[in-house]
Amino acid sequence: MNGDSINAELHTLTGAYALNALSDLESRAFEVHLAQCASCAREVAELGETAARLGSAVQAQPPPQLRDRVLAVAFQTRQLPPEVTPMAQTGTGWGHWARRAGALAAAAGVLVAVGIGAHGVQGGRHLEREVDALRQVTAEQDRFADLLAAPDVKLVHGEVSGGGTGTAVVSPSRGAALFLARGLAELPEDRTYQLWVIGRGGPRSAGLLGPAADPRPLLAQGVTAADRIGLTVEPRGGSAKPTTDAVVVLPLA
Amino acid sequence: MPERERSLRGVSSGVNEGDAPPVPAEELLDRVARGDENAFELLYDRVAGTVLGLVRRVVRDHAQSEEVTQEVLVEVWRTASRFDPRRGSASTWVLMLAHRRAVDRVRSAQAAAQRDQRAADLGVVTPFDEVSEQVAGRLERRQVRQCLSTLTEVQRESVLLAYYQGYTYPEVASLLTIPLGTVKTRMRDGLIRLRDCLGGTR
Repeated sequence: MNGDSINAELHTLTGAYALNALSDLESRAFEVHLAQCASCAREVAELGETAARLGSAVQAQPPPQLRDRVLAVAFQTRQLPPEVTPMAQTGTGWGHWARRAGALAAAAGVLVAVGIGAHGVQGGRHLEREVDALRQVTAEQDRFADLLAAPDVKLVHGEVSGGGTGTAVVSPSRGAALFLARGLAELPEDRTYQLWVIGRGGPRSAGLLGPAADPRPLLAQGVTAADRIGLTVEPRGGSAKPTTDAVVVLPLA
Repeated sequence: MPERERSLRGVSSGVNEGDAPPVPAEELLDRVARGDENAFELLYDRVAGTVLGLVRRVVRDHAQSEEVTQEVLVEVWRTASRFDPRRGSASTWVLMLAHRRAVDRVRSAQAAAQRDQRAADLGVVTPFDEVSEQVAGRLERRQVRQCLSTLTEVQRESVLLAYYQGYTYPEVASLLTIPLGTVKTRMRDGLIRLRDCLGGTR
């Protein structure tokens, strides 16, 4: 069920990140953390530079046709304009990490659901609705960012039986855990994934995950290190108590 | 005599070329950002060998490596305006793009399956020796090699398996049969030691 759950202190991931040795999901979570942690961002930049020295020590002789192909394709490719938006206000010069802070929410499909930009200019009412939705997303992201910036934040993840992985970003000091899932098996129409906080008093619901193809991140609050979180398959609309065995259980300690 | 003259001219023109300081890659990239095709050709000649070397080291397959190298270099052309010299050198920027692309390529689900099988077949390799065979930039190779030798064995293997094989840290942990927490700190400690050593030799 949770055979190989792992437990990782985000702060020590600078080396693994600089080596591109994190999974996609962990990378994104770590990038959000970097936006809040100037010393981590500085260290990542330095270690990235060091890792690149390993790269510059390896050479190969490119075939001449490669040069022709690259030039031909490049010169038919439109170049990106420079970014003109001011750096985000981090006060440290590491604004580029802050700009990537949305990656976590975007990855989880939140921004995608809002669809700002994708639809271009909208009528007034639509626009208002989208701005409202964006405000909610921003508030949610602030809570995510607050959690990810906690000094004791760590990652726990495990395989979901039936397919996919579940990852929890946990901070005992904030009493919060953010649950992210990916690659989950599709469920029949009348079933849904439901998240539970399993404490001494038994399980309590932490919300429904949404469609398996596009699960939303769920923030469970009021959790302690002694709790676990678990995911079950429930009838559509969710249950008051779990009615099936968990497909994954993650310890928060 | 004419023969001799020609050869002398050849030598002296070579020397003159060497005397003129090469345009820094940062400046080339800046010109590329403004759509300067000639600057891109010069930049290509400067970095393509390293990009292909690194990509091939990670991806192995020659045809795929050329594909990835092409993607990387076209990406350099496309996103040149996003290069920020305050965040590091141009060659670092290009190599980071290259490494990420190469790693993305080998991490497709199918590649992962093959890789696991390959790792199981080979057992634990000694990446340091394997790497040193392929390492070609003479001065850079000497410095990197020398500095790698200051790392502990576990630090060195963790760093090299991740960087040159494109393994994730859980994969490295399982290959070296050490705990996940240990491999994370060894990667960080190893890179820090490497940084301090290379910083002193440049």
